Amino acid sequence: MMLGLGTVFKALLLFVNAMAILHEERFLKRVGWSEQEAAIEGGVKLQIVNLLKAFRVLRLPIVVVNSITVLVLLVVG
Amino acid sequence: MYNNPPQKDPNRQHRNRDPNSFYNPSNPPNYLSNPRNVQDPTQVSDRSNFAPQPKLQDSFSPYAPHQTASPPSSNYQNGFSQHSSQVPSNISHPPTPPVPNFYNPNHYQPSSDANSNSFSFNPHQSFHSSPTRSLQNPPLPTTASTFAPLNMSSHPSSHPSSHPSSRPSSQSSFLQPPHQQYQQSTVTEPNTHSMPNLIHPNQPHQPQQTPQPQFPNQVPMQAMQNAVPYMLAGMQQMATAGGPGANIGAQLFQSLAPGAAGYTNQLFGQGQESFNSFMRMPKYYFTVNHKYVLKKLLLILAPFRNRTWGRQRGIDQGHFEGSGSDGATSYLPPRDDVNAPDLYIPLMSFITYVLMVGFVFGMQDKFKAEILARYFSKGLAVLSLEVLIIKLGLYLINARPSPWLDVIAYRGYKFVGVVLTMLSGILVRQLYYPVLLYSATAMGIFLMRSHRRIILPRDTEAHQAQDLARRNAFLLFLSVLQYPVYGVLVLDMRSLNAMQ
Repeated sequence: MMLGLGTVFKALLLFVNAMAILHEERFLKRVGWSEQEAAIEGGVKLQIVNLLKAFRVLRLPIVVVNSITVLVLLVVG
Repeated sequence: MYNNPPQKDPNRQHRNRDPNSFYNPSNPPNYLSNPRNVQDPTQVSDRSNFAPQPKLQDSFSPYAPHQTASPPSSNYQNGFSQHSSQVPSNISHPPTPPVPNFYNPNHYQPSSDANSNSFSFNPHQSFHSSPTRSLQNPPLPTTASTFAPLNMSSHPSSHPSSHPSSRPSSQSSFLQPPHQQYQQSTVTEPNTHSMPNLIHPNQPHQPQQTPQPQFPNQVPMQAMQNAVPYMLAGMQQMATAGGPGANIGAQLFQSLAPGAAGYTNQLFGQGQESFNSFMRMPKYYFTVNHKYVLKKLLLILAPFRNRTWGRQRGIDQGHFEGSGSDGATSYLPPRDDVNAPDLYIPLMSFITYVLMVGFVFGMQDKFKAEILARYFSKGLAVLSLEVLIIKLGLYLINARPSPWLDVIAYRGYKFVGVVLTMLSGILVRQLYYPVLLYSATAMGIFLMRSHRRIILPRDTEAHQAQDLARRNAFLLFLSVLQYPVYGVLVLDMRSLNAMQ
């Protein structure tokens, strides 16, 4: 598939979806990436956990962007 | 043709109004007996009849009217009318005196070496350059000129719109007393970190002497003054909420009260980092001149020769920061500092890249219009991917925040190397790979050296070894990333080049 701006956008959207899906209680705590643990350890882990938290907060806009993209792709193909 | 002069109306007194007396090159009038004065200006080779022409280098008195005799008067004496067509085309008009530099009482010019092409007043310049060139520093509006603080005008690149006194006076009068006080404290703030060029080297510290114009309508300001503490408290809460919150708080604060630059440093306590780190006005990135472009291109392609990599700081005169903080120290624009990133070179080299791709395809007779669009999109995609990865990386290792446009500018410099590679591949086929590898390496070194100050911790506290190693690894990653990126941009034309 040709590397173009649309391709990058779609890939980015899927990546963001993947990050937003990670559930804090059911999954991250089991793996040891909860907030408390990351605050203790600090460093990169703390930043990543904060980033995931930000994506979780932004779930609604992500849903909206997904819907728009789906509609546009339906029309344009 | 001199035997039948044009028929004139003998009753007309004024020669100029007579249409028949207008100059006709094919039939020049012969009013005087001296044949030397009759000239066909289209064939004038020497101008000995006229006054000696003023040499452009001689007249250095910009304020005195031009002293040498002007050609039109001599024309008149010779019997030529004042009609414009009578003035021969190769006589230059008397040069207009250039506008004196109101902005600069000391005639201070930061980049004033002889080779500088920056747009400042230069008596050696030809007076026939376009008027906008010598008027690069337009004079202040006269109403506000009396309120000019002294050290604000010593930088010739300041814009009148950024001047505090040219803003609505109610704002400046409202914030004047603490503004003056705090601005003194920020200007004379000591150099807390080991920054070699905190203040622009030619601008001494001067306490700001902003006079306080008293305006009658200060009654509505009382209400605002009462509300300000609450606003400040709210913003300070935002500031203490977290790292990015502080920036947002500072931004909001500065956008609401543009005159209170001095407040920001005091309240949000971030010292030198108080300037906007999310967005900087794009205008900043396009203030370039020839000297900068040439030196920067040389830097990108051969980064070994640079001595200092730190960006210089100065007073932000040009209103470049998005929040409009006047008087805060920030980075100098590209025109004054060769290490500053700009967007002009990346933009131009990107467009050149797209055109060269089309050219290469065209040489193989495979050109279609769709190819340009495809490679345009591809270049942008590669650039945006790289910018996103770098931004993510910078965030993860907790580096100092860097504006988006800065990162885009630094990443956009690679198109210069790509264009060079393609050019050399077109000219000499065997040079293709070596130049590609060399330019990717040069770009990597350039990026590494430029980003060292952002990524590596500035102070020499005892940092964790792991953290330091991580930062160094990221720095290395920045440069190693160049190789595949260059490859993606260029290598699928390898097949085309092989077919030359």
